[in-house]
This record gives sequence, structure tokens and C-alpha cells, in this order.
Amino acid sequence: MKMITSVLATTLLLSGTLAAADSGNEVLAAVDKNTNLLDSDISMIATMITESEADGVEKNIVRMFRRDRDDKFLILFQEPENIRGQGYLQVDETLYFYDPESRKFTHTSIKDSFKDSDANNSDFGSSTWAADYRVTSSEPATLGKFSTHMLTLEATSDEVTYPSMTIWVNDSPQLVLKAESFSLSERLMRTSYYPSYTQTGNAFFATKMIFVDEVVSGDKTTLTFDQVNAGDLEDSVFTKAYVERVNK
Amino acid sequence: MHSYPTVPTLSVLALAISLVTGQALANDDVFGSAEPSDDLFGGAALVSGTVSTDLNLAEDMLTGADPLNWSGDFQWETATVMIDQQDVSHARQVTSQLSGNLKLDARPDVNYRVLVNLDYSADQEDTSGSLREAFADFDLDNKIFVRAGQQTLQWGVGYFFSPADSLSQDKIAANDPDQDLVGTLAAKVHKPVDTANYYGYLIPDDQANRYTVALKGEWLLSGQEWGLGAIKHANDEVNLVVTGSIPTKIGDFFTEYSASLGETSVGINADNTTFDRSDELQHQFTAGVRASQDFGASSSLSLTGQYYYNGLGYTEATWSSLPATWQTLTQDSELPDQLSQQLAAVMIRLDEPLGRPLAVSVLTLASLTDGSTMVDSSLTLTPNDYVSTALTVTSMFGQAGSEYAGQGELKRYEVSLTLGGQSF
Repeated sequence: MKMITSVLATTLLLSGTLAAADSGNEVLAAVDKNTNLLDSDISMIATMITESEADGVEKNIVRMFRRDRDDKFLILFQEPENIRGQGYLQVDETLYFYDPESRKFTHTSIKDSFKDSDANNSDFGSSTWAADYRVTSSEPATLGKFSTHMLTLEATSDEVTYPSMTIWVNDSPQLVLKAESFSLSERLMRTSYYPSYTQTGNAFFATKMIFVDEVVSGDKTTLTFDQVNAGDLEDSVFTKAYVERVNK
Repeated sequence: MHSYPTVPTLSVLALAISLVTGQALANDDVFGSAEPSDDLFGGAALVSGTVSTDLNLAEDMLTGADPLNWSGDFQWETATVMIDQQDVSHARQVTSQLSGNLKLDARPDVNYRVLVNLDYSADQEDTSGSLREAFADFDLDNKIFVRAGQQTLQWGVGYFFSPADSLSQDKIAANDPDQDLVGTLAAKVHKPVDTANYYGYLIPDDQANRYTVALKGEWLLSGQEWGLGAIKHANDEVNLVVTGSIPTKIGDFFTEYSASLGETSVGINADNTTFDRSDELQHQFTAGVRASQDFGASSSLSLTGQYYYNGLGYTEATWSSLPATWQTLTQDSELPDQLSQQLAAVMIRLDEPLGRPLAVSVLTLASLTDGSTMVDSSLTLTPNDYVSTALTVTSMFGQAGSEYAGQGELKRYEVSLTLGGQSF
């Protein structure tokens, strides 16, 4: 009787955990659906403020273009002047970095940090939470005035920047508000905040992202997005030819 | 007799524990000492603002705010150089030079632009200026893109050596691979098709009164980029080249292969006489890797290594007029080895270690054919955007006349100061 009871209890607990994980996976899919625009393109101007204990405060202005249906994006630096024209172009899972001085395209990794900031290249592409992570636990939580679900995630492959994460997803609309990113040794590496979004159709775009470096105390990067535009772009925008043409 | 909790009781207990733990975890330190401020999610609405559809930021980028735009950079550098060589006395040298670049970018409309890119320099003896690039860009129905004029051609993928790039007038220098190259007078036609890119080049040769014609395709295959190109030079030399870039978890591997017929190359006979090899099919191959690891936002460690088999051998190398010297240098080599060169390069660079404004780099170039080696170690301190100072020690090992120790074994010390280095 004791054994039967224990097995039943364990089964119930496990089934509860699995059910929570299943529903968590649905939440990830909903987040992807909510933040990917599949029937048009998106372009915007981003101001990136990087605060570093070592380097002080640096400001970058970049122009960003996304075509989520083809998993393409282009990021071009406008300011400061010494890196104007540098850019990142993602085409068919290949991420290029372009240097206008040498006129060279070199391959770079989606996992790398974005131009000496606390942001990563992977922070700017289309949303792929459901493909990149599986939910291991899901719990209700509140974040400020928002009702959320706190999901614990494990990477499904080693192609992602962080092997495990904890994210807080707003209940409605289902959008990521906060994310903690951990290393393989489960050390907290970075905390990300997404405190504001804008909407076009059924899709939402974060208009502010804050990335706090949890390894180097005091280092932080804030991205603010303006002039968000959902107009269709020419196919040629997501090509090497366009990157070469806009550069000096 | 023991009494056991019933299954429903256990379930309720488990659910309660789960909820309590969950809430506790969720609230734990969400607004603790972490940045940013505690009220980040306490005030404004989550979704706000509007998205427009009438502003084309991509077209706007092609014209810019002003149709005519100047930019450039400037720096002044002074250096003290000392050379330590056994049995040879070298006087200390002090040099200074100002140098920079000016660019004029004219974009009268979205379909047309002209760029003029000038380098200038001056030292105590000479002032000079040179045209690095000057070209016009236009497109045909936004599908075919044309660049005409003096332009930097990107034909190969090699970092220190690029045997596939026999088009460019200016070649990569292995001891300074990041140096800007002077452009080549050419017309380039670029046609992107889906994820592939196709290029055609027409390069006039005033001396031969003919044209060099080149065609190249680049394809993305499972995350790898492969290129295939063919060049018919004005002097009837023909090249077939293959390039590949293969991103991996370790780093970005790259490779080039070039087969050429009719290219100038000199061979050496066993009796120390030379002969022309231009009627032979000659092969060149290179492979390398670039890898980097970030540490925090600013520190990074990068490693670049490359091997190069130069089957062309030599064109105007010093040894070709002194074959006996060459025989001495390669005395252990068989004759086929003397028709080629095998070179290797490795560079390790550490930027901003522990967040300090320092860069440390070590570049090693080696000829596996004649055994010569050059090791260039430098420590650069950049306290701010306008001031930079560097200590560079260059060591050369090998016999005089060899690839990387032309003057024999020596050590070269350089201390440099750069002021005003800034873009505008």
C-alpha cells in the first residue's frame, strides 16, 4: 500500500510537472507567434547606450531591417562616425559582418556579443524560443503590476547563446518581460528586460531592451527603438549589394 | 499501525508546495538590487506607440540626409626604431608621419552615387596623395548592381594569403593583413539571386591593350559559403578558383584553391640554372581558421591561422638571379619542393584584457620551405580615442635571402606614439 501510494504521488507530481512543461511550450510558441511578423517587413532605428565601468558610456545608432518570414535581418551602424557603415547581414542561417574599410564580408556567430555591448547578435533576429528551448518548469509569478508565468528553459541544441534560461512571460498578450541567461555551469551571465512593446496587426515589437551584465558589475546596455515601420522592403535590401551600396 | 496520507491529500499538498515555491521564486529578487530600477514594470502600459507603414528607412539610407557628404580620418604618428643584429651596426631611427583619408560621397538620388576615397600622407621629406577608390554605383531595376571605377575587389576569402585573388592590383601583405588595399580599375556587375550572388568583372589592361574578364558565383550551402570563379587575364593567363567559408563551433574555416595556366613562374634545375614554368598547370591552395572568444562586453581573444601552398613558386624572388644561394637555403629539399613555397601564419590577439585599454598581439609568419620565421609581438595602450602608444618587437630567424629573414637574423624594436587618430 505504501509503495502504491508513493508511486501514485510521484506519478501525479511528474504528470503535473509535465503538464506545466507542455503548457510552457505552448507559451513559447505563442511568444514566437506574437513577436514574428510574417506578412510584411519591419524596419526601425535603434539607439544603443552601453554603460561600462571600464569604458564609460558609449552611444551607437543603428538602422535595423527584419524579414521574419525568411529569417533575414540587416543591421547597419550610423553612429559613431568611426564605425559608420559596419553591418550585420543574416541570410539563410549565415550571419555576415561587413567592414566598410576593407570592403570585406566575414562570417560571424549569432552567439557573439553585438559590437562590444551586453547585447548578442541573437537578440535581433526573429523569435525562435519554441525551436531553441524546451520548458522544464512553469510557475505563475508577478512582475511589478504584470501577471506572468516564469518558465525555466533548457536549450534543445548548442546552437543558442545560452544553454539555460529563466524567462517571465506576460499572461496577455504573451510577451517576454524578463529573461535570466545562464552558462553551462549555471552561473547567471545576463539579465534582460523588455519593459515596452509596440504593436502592428497581431505582432508586437519590443521598443526597449535592457541587458544587464551579471559578470561585470555595473555594465549595462539599453536599446531604444524608434520609427518602427512595417512597410514592405525591396528584396535587394537583404543582400550584400545593398550593404555595399549604402556604405561610404 | 501507521496512517498514511491519502492520494488526494498528497496531491493537494504537492500543488500547494508547488504554488508557494513558485510564487516565492518569482518574487525573489525580481526587484532586488538588480539593475534597472525596481519600478520598471510598475508604471507605464506594456504596449504603446504606433507603427507606420509610409516611411522607407531602406531608401532613406541610400540617399542620406545630405546629397553630398564629406568624411575621413587623420592621425599623426612618431616612432623610434632600433635594430639589433649580430656583426651589423644599425643607427637608431626616428620617424614621423601624418596620414589620413578623405572621402566624398555624392548621392543625388536613390539609384546613383559616386564615391571618391583619397589617402594622403606627409613626412619630413615627402608629401603624397593617392586615390584608393573612385567609383560610381547604379542599378538596373534594382536587380542588377553595377560599380564602375577604381574599387576594392573582394575575390578571395584568405586572411594572410589569398591566391584566389589574382584580380586585385594591390595584394594582401601577410605581415599587415588588415591594411587597406588600393582599388583596381574595373567594372563590376553584381546579380543577387535568392541567397546566391553572381559577379562579372571587366578590367582593362592599358599595356596589353586588352581586357581581363572574370566571372564568379557564390552559393550558401547548409550555412557554408562556396564560390567558383574563372578569370581570363589580358595576357591570356587563365585561372580557375574555388573559395569556401565554413563556419563551425570552433571558428570560421576558410579555404581557397587556384589552378592557373600561363602564369609567370620560375623553376630551378639541378645544375642551378632556371627555367620558365608558365606553360605548366600550376596549383595553389590555402586553408585557415579564424576564431574568437568574447569575455564580457569588451574583452576578446582571437586566433587566426593559415597555411598556404604556393605552387607558383617564385616570379621575381631574389634567389632567381642567385640560384646557388637558393640551393644552399633549401639544401635538404628535393627538386619539386624548390618549385613551390609552403608558408604559414598565426596571429593571436587579446583585446582589452580585464577591461583595460590594452591590446596584445603576436603574429608569426613562417616559411616551411626555407625555415625562416618572423615573430612580431606588440603591446598597444589606448587610454582614449585620441592617443595610442605601442611597443613592437619583431624577431627574424633564418638565413639572409630567405622569405622572412631577408637581411638575416635580427631583432627590431619600435616604440610609437599616435596622436589625433580619429574619424570625422
